[in-house]
Amino acid sequence: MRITNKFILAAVCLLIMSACSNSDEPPVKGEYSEEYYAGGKNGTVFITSSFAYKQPMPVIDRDPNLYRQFMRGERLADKSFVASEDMAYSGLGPVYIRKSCIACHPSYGGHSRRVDKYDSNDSHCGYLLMIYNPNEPNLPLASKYFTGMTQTRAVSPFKPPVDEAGITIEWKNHIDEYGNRYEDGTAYSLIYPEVSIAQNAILFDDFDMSLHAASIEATIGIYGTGLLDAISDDDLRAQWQEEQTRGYCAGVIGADIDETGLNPYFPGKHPGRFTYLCTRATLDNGPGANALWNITNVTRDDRKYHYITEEYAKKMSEDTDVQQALGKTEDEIFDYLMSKDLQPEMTMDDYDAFMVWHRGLAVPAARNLDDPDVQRGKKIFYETGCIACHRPSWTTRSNYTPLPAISNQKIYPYTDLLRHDLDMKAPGRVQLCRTTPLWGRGLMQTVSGHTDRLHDLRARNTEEAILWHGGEAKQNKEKFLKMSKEDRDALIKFLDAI
Amino acid sequence: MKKYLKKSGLLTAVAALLISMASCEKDNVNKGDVNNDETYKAILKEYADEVVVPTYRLMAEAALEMRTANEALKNSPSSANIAAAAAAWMNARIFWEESEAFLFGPVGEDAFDIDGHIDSWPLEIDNIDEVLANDAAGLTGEIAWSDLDAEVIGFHTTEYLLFRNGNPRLLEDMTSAELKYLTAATDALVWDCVLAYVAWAGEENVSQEIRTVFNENPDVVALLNSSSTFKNFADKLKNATGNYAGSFVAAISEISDGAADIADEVGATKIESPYVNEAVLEVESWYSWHSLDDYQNNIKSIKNAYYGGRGATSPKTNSISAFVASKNPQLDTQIKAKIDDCIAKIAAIGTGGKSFYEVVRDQINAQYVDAAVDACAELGDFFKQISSNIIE
Repeated sequence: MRITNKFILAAVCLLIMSACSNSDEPPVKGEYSEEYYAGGKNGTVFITSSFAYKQPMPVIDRDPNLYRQFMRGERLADKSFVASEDMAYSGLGPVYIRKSCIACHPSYGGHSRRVDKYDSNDSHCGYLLMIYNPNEPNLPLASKYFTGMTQTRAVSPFKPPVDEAGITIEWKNHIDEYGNRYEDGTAYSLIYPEVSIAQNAILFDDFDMSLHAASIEATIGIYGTGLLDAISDDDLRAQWQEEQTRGYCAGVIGADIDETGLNPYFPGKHPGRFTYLCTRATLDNGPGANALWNITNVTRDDRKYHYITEEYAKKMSEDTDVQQALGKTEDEIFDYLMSKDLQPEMTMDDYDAFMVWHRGLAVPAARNLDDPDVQRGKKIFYETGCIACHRPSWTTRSNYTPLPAISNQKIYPYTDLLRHDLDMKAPGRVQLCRTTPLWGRGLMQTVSGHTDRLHDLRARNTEEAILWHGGEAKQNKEKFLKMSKEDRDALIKFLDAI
Repeated sequence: MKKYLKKSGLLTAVAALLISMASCEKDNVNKGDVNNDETYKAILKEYADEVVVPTYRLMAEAALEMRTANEALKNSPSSANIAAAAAAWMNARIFWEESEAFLFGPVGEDAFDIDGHIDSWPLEIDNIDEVLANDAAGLTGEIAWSDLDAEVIGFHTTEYLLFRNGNPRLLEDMTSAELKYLTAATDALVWDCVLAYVAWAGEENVSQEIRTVFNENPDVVALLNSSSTFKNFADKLKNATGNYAGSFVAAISEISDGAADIADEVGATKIESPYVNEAVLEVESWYSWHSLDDYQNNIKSIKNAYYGGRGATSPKTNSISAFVASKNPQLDTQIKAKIDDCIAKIAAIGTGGKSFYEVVRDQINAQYVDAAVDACAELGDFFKQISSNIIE
């Protein structure tokens, strides 16, 4: 019956579309210019409520199978995994970072908020913890002992590599070289975090924390990442190339990553474009695809091993408490922890559904672009040179096979997907930070109830985020400092509109 | 807007055509000239004062009744007291489910994450059992609320302690450790429910009894005080202040987007997903087997929100229904009919006296499951149309 109806429905669909316009574009709200469609015609939803970052793209909404997968995927992102066996969503641990995606990605796109305590049981704390060597170039992670994203939780009898009680986040005041004053005399304040870990909070006796440093990173919005994935490598490389020759703000492109066998759609080498450090190249081997596994340590067919270090496996297998509790020998415990052939705890159907959700989260449409103040702010944004790195628009590749409908979309993410040095005070590991997409950020207050920004949420609002722009963006910041209050407000109003 | 086209029959599609044409006409209106703020303000007032706040008040009061019943059960274990505690749990559950059309603001994950804290499923059963094996020694409400993970407290943990296989547990099966755990977890639940109510209503607007309970746990008070954004949230929503920064369009959209969100979740997530995946473990309310009540109460939550009053049988003057009716009467008629249709179709999933757990386990009543899933998807789409085509 359903198949028959499909034809009838298709006919009715056509009727409906032709009733509104002659184009084959999806129905639109009112008469909006192209720029309102931040995520392109097929990837944008018109919404301004607190549900703004949670919506499926119209293309997902129109397809019953994609919609079903999207909703299933959303559930997997929402739910906490548990360690208890024979439960729904089993598979957590043995050692992990958080139990769910939503723990650090509230509303999927709002950042978690700035907190002063690293407590993974506090739903407001969405930070990841990094432990690295500050004395070597490129600030290498202490990856012999700790996973890149440091694990602070473990399923009993296993013990966490770092005891959260020993992590301190201290927010300090920063006075910039302009004495925290605009040219018109208006004062502003800036704060930044200093993170430390007590030696006795470290599980490993031979790890010397005093020779290392720790920093925190907040999450990045998930919505629209499918569209960023759909930008071609060629276009990304061309942007990079252009920046190398223009004489200012030469962005750093993510290193090539060979994704053969890791990305079913686009095998081969791709430049990194995801994460603050551009360490992930494509969505299908991206931060989300990996996080579903390495944040929770829930195994699946393409990840039949733990996210774990050998030092940790050694330490735990030697621990007599652990041996006793599990009734296993040192070798058995070590072999289990380091096994490359564990039983999958998540089905690939569920993983595929998760990826439909991940890829299919729509970008909220821009708002108020016709407002005179917003127009003025836009002019300032362009004239101040912000667009050098916050590149307004891209057109997605013509053959985005994972979700063909988001091919050929003109999108407005306001990023060049390259890394730049903002010369921030104590940036932690993120010294060269990928230009953050600005689309939809103006809805943060409505969605999240706060506007904490930048990689460690040091900026408490858009204005502070601008004021942290030093380094390559120093001249632009100086222009901002010289602006009248009206111009500064207009610029921020524009940023809140896109 | 088109989701239901794919999911339902021709009749709906034709109806969609009519709606679509109506919305085309509306699209010709110059949006710059439209200002419905006063209307929206009146609707938001009705919605907050007559639907949201009373629902949370009833939930808080019902949680307190749970506390009384569970204390009585702990102090004097008997079959009658188990039955009373189970009934109190069921009653509190109704109001929680009737609040799910407005899972934004204080209860949301960006605010106090009360949803995550009181309605977590699955449970970390091993941890619960471990605490029970140690006689729940030292477990207090304060510890449960502040230190325990969400997966070992909340409605489903208290349900686990009170129910098995769709029935209240037998007296001889209950241990003193379980009763200790139950009362501690209930205290935590009470504070969360009271927090939701106080955060929406404002502490100055609740009864002395509720205020006293709210102030029992300084950590609860501190949490509310940590975020001015989510304090007195009803006032902020009604006046489109705070997070809404003066946008009545954003504020009023919470009503329709909240309804769309839960309609989609009930159909696709709560009903369809466990059924098609044959995942009995994913059926919520696993121990009391009353999921179908939960889902119907979710739709009742939508009805209350849409009609502008709890249990209203016809829309209030200042309801979003009345507003939709003024713009597109046919859509309003369809929404009202679809709400009742959803409730009936969800109830029909239990045809043959089955719980949803049994329906999923035995993979029966497929046609009723399909019908309910489609109806919920259609309802969700109708509400999305309000946001995208009616509100401006």
